Amino acid sequence: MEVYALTDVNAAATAPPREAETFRDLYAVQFAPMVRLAYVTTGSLPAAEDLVQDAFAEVYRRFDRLEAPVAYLRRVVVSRCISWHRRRGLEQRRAHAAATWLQDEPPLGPDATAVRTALRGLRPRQRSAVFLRYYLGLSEVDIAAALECRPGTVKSMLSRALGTLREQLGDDDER
Amino acid sequence: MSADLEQRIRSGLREYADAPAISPPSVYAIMNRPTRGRLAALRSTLAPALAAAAVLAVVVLASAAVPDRGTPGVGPGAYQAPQIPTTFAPFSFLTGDLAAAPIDRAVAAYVQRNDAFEDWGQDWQLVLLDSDGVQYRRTRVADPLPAGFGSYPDGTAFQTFLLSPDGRRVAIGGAPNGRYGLSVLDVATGGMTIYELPNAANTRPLAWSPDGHQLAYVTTTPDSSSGALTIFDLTTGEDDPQAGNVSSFAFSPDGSGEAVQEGNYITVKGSDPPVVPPFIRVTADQRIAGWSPDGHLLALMLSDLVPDGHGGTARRSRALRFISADGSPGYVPGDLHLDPTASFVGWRGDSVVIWDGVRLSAVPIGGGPVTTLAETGAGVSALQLATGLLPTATFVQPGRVDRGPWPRWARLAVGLPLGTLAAAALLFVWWRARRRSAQLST
Repeated sequence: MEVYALTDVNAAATAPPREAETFRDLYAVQFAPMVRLAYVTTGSLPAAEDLVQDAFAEVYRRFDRLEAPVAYLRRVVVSRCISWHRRRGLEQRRAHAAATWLQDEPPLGPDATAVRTALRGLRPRQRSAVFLRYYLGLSEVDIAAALECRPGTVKSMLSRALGTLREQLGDDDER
Repeated sequence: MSADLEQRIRSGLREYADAPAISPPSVYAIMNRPTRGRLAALRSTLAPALAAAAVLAVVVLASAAVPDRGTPGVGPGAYQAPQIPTTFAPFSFLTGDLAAAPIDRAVAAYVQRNDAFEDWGQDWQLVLLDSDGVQYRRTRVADPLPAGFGSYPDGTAFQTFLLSPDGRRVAIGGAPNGRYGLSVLDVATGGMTIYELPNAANTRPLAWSPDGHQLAYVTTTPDSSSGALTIFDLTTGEDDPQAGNVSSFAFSPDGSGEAVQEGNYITVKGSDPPVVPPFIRVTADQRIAGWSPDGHLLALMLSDLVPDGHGGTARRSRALRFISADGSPGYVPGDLHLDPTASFVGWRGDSVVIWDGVRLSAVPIGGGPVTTLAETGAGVSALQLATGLLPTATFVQPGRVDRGPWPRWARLAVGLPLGTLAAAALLFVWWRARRRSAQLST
């Protein structure tokens, strides 16, 4: 099994449009971070892989017409993750997510466990925003483009998410 | 946020997100992946489009479900035995206008009131029933103005109408649409011709000639329903004014003779040499009802009027009296006693057709059981049948009712919201397409 190397992820994610001249380039560089984005947003690795493959398939169909394929890919992934959540009823989603987390939970350190616990309490869009901000290091403008909202919305969304994270991580400095 | 917290979030998030091992499938598998996205995109684009198409289809079907101008089946020149339903259709606000969808010929004309929802604006209609027994139309050209309501001292309405024997015309007296004169509605076109008279005279149509070419009417004043008689020829447009103060009139079955009532005398003209006394004395409460198809009998309607306590009169009883119109020694039946509400509608074989306000009945003039022909239902008044069609008409079980195209207000009431919905759906589709296009370009 090929394990994808996560090197230079941020550089790839924030690269200028049309850095990926071919679809293969885009796929090689962006598949793993997009799966992780979907994984953090949905809480389910199988669902994340399935959604991201769908997203890449869609990008492939439109690749020649895309001026910024990476930004478009992020938007499609986030959109599909949120749609995935919508398709499931609240109870089913919670049950599925809980079961998935129980099954797939790898052993994590204390901060990672706290982050995971905090993310479970957030909405899918907030989870995506947190990942795009603190994992991919995107600006609020880029995050807004991915979430299809205004930068101000991203700012308040991240602020509320940080409040939850702060509680879980036990940071009392700014309370 | 402290730098330490941010660092802890970054590291914790990275540890959490990086934990699962990810193995990307072959890029060729992605390239050949049957995308749900394509289907979903197609579905999301098609769904509103299909909805819009469905709405448009409903609008089109709704307008197509009702016949447009004319209805196939009874074309001009193609004779079909007239049919009259045994139960008339109830009042409906959705009955279409004759002008929007004319019929071939009317077998019945009547005023129908809306008894169920009296507060809903227009509460009565002049309805024409096609001789196919299916199509009902109303005619707005004969809508009386509020000032047109009222009656002469003897109770006769100011505004009266008279269906021609062949059902192809309706003469309307009074002042329909505020215009005095003689108005004739053409059933086959829905158009009305107004023959304006000098001095803004009010008219009251009395009788159509059997061939429907001539119309006898009187020019009246508000004080009396009687007046000077005029025979108007619709084919030539010529008037034949006659003196006198005529109250009732009938053409003979062959159209050559006339029975004219002036005061307490009825004059039968057209027999040469006259075989009956030129003057038949009647009482003031008698009116000519009709001439029998064989030309032998003249039916008179007798009304036993009594004071109603309000300065007017009320009928206590009615009867049909028959007299020999041609003086031949044939059989003359005795009086037929009727309900006070009964009115003479026409002849059907050896029976007279009587309408009592609710049902049509055939009453044999020589005696015998009365046959109920049809129920007109409550709310119907001033019923007339096309006397030339009545003898051969068949009374049939009511089937579907064709009220023609909806009135304009109803089409607007339904079409505007549906059209708005359709437009909104189309706008949504357009917006989605633009948005998708904009997304591709970013």
